[in-house]
Amino acid sequence: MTEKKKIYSDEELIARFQKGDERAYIELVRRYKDRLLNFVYRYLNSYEQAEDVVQDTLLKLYTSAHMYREIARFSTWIFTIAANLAKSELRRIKRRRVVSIHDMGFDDKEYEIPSEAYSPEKETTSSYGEKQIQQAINTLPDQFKTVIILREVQQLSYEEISQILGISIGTVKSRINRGRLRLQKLLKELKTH
Amino acid sequence: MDCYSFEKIISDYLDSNLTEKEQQAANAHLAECPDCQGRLQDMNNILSALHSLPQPSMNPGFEARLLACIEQQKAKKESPFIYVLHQYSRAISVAAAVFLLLATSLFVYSAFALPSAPGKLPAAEIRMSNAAPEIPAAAGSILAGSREENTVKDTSKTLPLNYQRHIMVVNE
Repeated sequence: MTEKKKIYSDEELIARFQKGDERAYIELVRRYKDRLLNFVYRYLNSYEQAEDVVQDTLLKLYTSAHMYREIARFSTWIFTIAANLAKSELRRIKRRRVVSIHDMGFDDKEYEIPSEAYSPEKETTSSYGEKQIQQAINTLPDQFKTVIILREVQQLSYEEISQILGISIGTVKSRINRGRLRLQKLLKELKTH
Repeated sequence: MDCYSFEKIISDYLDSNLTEKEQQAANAHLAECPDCQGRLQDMNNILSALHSLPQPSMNPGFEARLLACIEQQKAKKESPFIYVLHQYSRAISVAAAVFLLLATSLFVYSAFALPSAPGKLPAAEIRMSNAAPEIPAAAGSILAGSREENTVKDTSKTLPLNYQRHIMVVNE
């Protein structure tokens, strides 16, 4: 007789973990590590930093599991943690990238200098390459970047995005529309340069 | 519908979020506007490219590293003294530095600022040193006559050398 293995939902797993079942935690880690990595990697554009953020997210899941209440889906909760940590990491990266040149003796103004060379590949077809798409995502303002990644890369619903970011569905729709148009404009600029 | 209005609803058009009436108006505009047709096609290409972006996967050692981190966190919780040391290391360093500074200042003050020669004694201390023999003498007067002088001498020997010298000078 073969033993049927029950497949638990995320919410059942977190409930089991809250009761002390560490195997449930491992299962949640296995389910979410790649999804979270994909989201954070597209947001930060750095594999190593994305891996660190995902590790911190899953560590927080371990230490703060008791704070989860089943009023929201588990995926929404874990993506909220990841989004907040990724935002903090991006702020930290940006601070490091800001190079003050007043030491050079010109004036007191600080200039923001991109750390990476901006050299888009020119494509002759109407399709877009990964590099171009990622460059355009990196250039998007943060409010559009997050919704575009959650919607187009993670393929989450408007409602889930609204819960993760703590904004209304109307705002999500508006940001997605504006984000897509901004992305289109950026990609057009990248193609013409 | 004009191009500007179509641009505003292009996202809802793609996500099929329009009402039937809006959908018809958008389709009617698209049928006669090659620019918006191109814009829509381009947007479709962008969204397809976004959907088909390669998904990175986690390094095989990730789970082991994560579990090691969790063990470290548990160890921190188990030894609160080390945890407190780690958490308040800066405050502890500052406190230690302040203590060292105070201790050093006190040592320097006691070594150099306190008088070593009788001539340099502050007025109040000179008065004390001058008064010193009188106290035991007064105390000695209560005692029997012949023991008076011995009591004075014995008591003066318990004083610091500076004061002993003063007592000798004053007694002379």
